[in-house]
Amino acid sequence: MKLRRLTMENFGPYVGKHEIDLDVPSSTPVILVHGENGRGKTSIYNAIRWCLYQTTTDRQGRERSTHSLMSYDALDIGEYFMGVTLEFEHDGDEYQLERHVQAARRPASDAALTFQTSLRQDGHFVPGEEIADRIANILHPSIARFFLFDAEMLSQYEALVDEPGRDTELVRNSIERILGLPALQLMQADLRTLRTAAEAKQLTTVKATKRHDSLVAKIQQSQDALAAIDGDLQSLQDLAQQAEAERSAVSDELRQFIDVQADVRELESVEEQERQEVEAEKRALEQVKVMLAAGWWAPMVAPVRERLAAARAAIAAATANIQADATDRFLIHLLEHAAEHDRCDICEQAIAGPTRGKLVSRLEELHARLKTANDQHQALAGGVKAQDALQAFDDADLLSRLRQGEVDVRRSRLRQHTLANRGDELRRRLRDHPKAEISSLEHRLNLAGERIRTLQAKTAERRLDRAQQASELQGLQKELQKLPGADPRTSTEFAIYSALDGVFEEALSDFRSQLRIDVQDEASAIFRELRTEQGYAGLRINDQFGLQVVDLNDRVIGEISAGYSQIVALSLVGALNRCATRVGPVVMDTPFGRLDVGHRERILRFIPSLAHQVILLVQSGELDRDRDLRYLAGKVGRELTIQRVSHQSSRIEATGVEA
Amino acid sequence: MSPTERVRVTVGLTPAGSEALTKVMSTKWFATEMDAYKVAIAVALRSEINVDQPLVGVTTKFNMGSLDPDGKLVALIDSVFGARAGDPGALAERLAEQGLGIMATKLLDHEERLTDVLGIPSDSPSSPES
Repeated sequence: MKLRRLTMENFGPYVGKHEIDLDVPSSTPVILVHGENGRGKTSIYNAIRWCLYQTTTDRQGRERSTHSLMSYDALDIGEYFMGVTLEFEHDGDEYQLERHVQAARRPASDAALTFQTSLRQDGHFVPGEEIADRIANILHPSIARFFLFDAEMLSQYEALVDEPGRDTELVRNSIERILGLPALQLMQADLRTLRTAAEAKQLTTVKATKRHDSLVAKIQQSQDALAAIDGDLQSLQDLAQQAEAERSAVSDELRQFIDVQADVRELESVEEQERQEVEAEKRALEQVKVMLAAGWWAPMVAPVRERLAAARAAIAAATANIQADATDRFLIHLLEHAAEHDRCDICEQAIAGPTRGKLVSRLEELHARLKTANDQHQALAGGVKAQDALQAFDDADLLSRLRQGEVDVRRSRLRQHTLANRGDELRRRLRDHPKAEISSLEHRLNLAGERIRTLQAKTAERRLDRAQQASELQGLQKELQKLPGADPRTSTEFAIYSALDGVFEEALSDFRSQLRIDVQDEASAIFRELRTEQGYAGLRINDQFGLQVVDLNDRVIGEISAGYSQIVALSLVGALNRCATRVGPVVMDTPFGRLDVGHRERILRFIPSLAHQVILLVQSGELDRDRDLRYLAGKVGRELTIQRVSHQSSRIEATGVEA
Repeated sequence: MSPTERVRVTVGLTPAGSEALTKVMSTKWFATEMDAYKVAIAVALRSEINVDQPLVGVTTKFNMGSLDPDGKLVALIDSVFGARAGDPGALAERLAEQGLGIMATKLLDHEERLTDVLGIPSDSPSSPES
């Protein structure tokens, strides 16, 4: 990575747009930016950090809010906009990273800001969601401290000299990232992913193999069962054929008796019907017997009905006569009274002369009729008595039932007779034929037919079993076909990846150790170049990249000064830059503040070799242009000075060498 | 009934009557001889035959109480003969003797139908011969 240009607008003390051309040749890698305290050196440092990561920290290492980075003068005049553009080259591609914030009014917090970021790679915009990853890939935030070197934040570098502590893991990771270890770790992770995948595949294969074996066993069982069913079916078919042959043979035998076969069957039917008719006759006869027992007087029903009619007629006649007799008696009473008094009681007219003669004649006539009255009563009594006696025998329904009963009996007897005749005829016809033999043959024929039907039912049942078994077998075979084959490559693959992982792990460990040794050697070499105290023999870097200064006897020097801590940190930064797979610019803010003249001279001499691009943000107290610049002779590509505009605004001017 | 006549408590048949009874029973129309005996009385009553002649050589067959437990037999005889009935038992015995003879002759010798013998009109459409 090499910085080309930094453009700041309303950032820190830089009101309006300010551009810094940072593009210098590798032969003159140093860019000197002079500025007194409070002029805006750290703002340049922060602008680069903020543009890259949208964050920066204060001297205590705390994250600063973005709105606090905005120019107060710009905000005072209503310009609520801030932007930084960083143009740089990396791996042959040109990048332009722009980051802006905008507020509708003077922002009191970052919440009032609208952030906008764009990254162009060779003129093409990178999708917004990929920008952070793309920047991290170029210069990861965790390693920025080794490129964006703020000597005022020495504490973070002093930590490197401390015993391994809370941040050592972070430091170690950062250093390893610079050294390119994550790429190797990623490779190892990829390798492990491959191994895991191979393992999973192998497990699947093992499982598939087990399932395969299980399926094969089941298929074998299913095939055996199917074969058994086929055997059964064959047996059933054989038996059915035998039964069919038997039936056919019997049928052939019976065919010679075909003429008499019908007679035999009819005779059996006739005999059965005869038996049924006998029973029918018995039932009908029994009914007649019951009727005759209870209605023995049936023959007298008709005469009784005639007698009843006569009795009823006699009763009616006697009744009529008796009534007439009563009327006559009343008339006699009236007529006798009229005759006695010569006067009619009804019409109150006198009776005399011829009328009286008629009256006497009428009375005689009436008296003559009264003589038969007793006979009429006797006739009535006789009629009633006869009627009472005969009514018990007036049952026409009995006759009807008796008649029907006799008809039933006679009809049954007639049928029996007919059947008997037919039976006799049939028996005569069958007399010369072997009825028993025919019956036996017919029995055998029936048995054969029954056996065939049974076998057919069993065959149908077994065919269903077979279809079911065949379907099951087909399913198993399909499942077997779907199983991945037992591929020996999977186990080989897994073994290879496992071995590679082991090898890689070992190689990575060795590489890490070697890198540490390389970094340690480089850092020690730089340290020795920079030191003025000859008793400090070099640096030792432990596994966690903790730094220790050792004496000539390789003993750790427990307590070193703040200045030496800075030298140690610079040694590490230099060593890392030399060993890093990714080279980047080094921006050093106030790098000489704690150094004495001797060390400053040494470091100034060293700085051009520190990186291919070194931006030194210095103040006059730590770097005297006339005195110290000679140590950088021929290595300064550009020299700039931050000029005061107001107490809170500055501008940058080119004051020295132009690249 | 004359004062000298004793009321019969049993009835029977002469040998001829018994033979006729056997024949009638052979027709299988009757469950018991008593049933045939009583039917024969009704047949005789219907025939209005002369039963004035007393029977000779009668062998007792039934007790009148068993023969006519509900009194219907005597009632029927009385309704036909009225005051002429005399001793209903004796009359019944003579009627049965005559009736059995008629039945045996008609059923067996003349092969008449039972209903014809009993005097039941054969106006049924369900006659097997029809």
